[in-house]
Amino acid sequence: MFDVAALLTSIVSVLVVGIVLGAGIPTIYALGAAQLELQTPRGRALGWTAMGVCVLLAAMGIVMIVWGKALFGI
Amino acid sequence: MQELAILVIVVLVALAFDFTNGFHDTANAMAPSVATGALKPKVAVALSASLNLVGAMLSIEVARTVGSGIVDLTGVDGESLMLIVLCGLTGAIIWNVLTWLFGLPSSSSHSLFGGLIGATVAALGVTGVLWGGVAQKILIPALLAPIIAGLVAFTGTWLVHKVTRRISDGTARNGFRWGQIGAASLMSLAHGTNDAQKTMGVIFLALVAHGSLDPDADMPLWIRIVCALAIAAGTYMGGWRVIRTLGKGIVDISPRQGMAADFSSASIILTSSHLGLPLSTTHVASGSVIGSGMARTDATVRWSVARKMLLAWIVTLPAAGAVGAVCYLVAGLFGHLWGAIVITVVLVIACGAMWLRSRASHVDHANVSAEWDAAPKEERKELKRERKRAIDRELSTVASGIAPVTKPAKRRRRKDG
Repeated sequence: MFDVAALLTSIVSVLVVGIVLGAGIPTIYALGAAQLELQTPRGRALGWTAMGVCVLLAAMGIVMIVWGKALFGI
Repeated sequence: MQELAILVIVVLVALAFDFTNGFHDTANAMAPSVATGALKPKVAVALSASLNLVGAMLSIEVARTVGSGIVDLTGVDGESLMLIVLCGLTGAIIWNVLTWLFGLPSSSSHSLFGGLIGATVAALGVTGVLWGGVAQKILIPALLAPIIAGLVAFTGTWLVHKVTRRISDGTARNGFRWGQIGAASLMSLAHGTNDAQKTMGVIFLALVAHGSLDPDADMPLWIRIVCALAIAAGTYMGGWRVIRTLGKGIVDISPRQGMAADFSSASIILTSSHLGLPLSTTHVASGSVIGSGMARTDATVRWSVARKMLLAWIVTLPAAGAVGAVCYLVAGLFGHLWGAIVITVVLVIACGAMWLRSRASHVDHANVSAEWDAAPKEERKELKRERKRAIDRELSTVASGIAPVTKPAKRRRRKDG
């Protein structure tokens, strides 16, 4: 009944996804906000790109988590 | 006919639990956004309710887990099984409403599992519980969820503050508003994918017990729809007392911190939903708020509030279990159908009494974001010192025998002349 391997796999998965997406997305967003504040064309371009990456990562996260098994077998 | 009547009661009480789950857990997603003013309270709960509704329809992995692996109900007749489920739900609802009354963000999932375990122990003895499953699916995740969430939120907040240490106050305040709204929305969606599933699992179990469903059948669409609607309605009601504790009580959240905390919670809950791990969203959200508070040097975590919350977490499983067990024993005195009716009446009365009690210290969308400590710290200390001095004066007066212990009569003014 007590499946240690399955439990460990779940915990490691949660931790890895948490660090990559949970800490990664806010950091990229913060980088984007800092760039946007510079008010330069380069800053604006980098800032909005960072914001776009955040939206993309969040959307990808939802797709992977909700339809990951059906689409990619994970 | 009797079995059908019990089934209807169980399904209604399960939906009531789902409602309290949404009501209790609105805070998990929206407390940081409400506390920082990124969203107006009413808008926040409406957004959260809509996304919970969508989330509830997206995944059923957790529902499959809830229906199996916690209690061994093989060989139990249908009516007894439904009564066990009903008593478990009653224990869970009573504990949920009680912790809401005290504004404590305790786990709805743990209250549900606690109630089911308690009712099963009362009905079948300790052998009726699959303790390996309890450890694997409830206890170990309960210990690890807030730690992982705290670690992720700490990392996120620390990185965000590092990256934005030179930005202006205006950007720090307004630039993160949309990030926070996005994170809170993701968190609401995640909550729907995880918590609504638990009630779906319970209703599925009751239908199997009644014989209406095969244990290997797919989750019927109507169960998914009614559960999604119940959790969304509960979320829209807004458990303002818990939102206040989580948003204002533990730590004064900044927009950057709120965003990091919400992204941390959302990523962890979505992953656990995918893996079928029934994590407590409350433990994850609270762990994230504490973790992000610890990453800031200019904000202090109110550990007295965190300690109370921790105590509620520890007590949730046994307390809900005790209520579930007592309910089963009481129901046993009346027989299956009348037992179910009596327990439901007790549940309604208990919830009504707690709701009336809550009116004495009303918290709603209007005062949910008010400062946690109304007076500044120094002022509160001075008031405390003044009260202490007054008591000391009173005591020394009594001790020296100048004044009697009882309240002195009002001194009459002497008329001279």
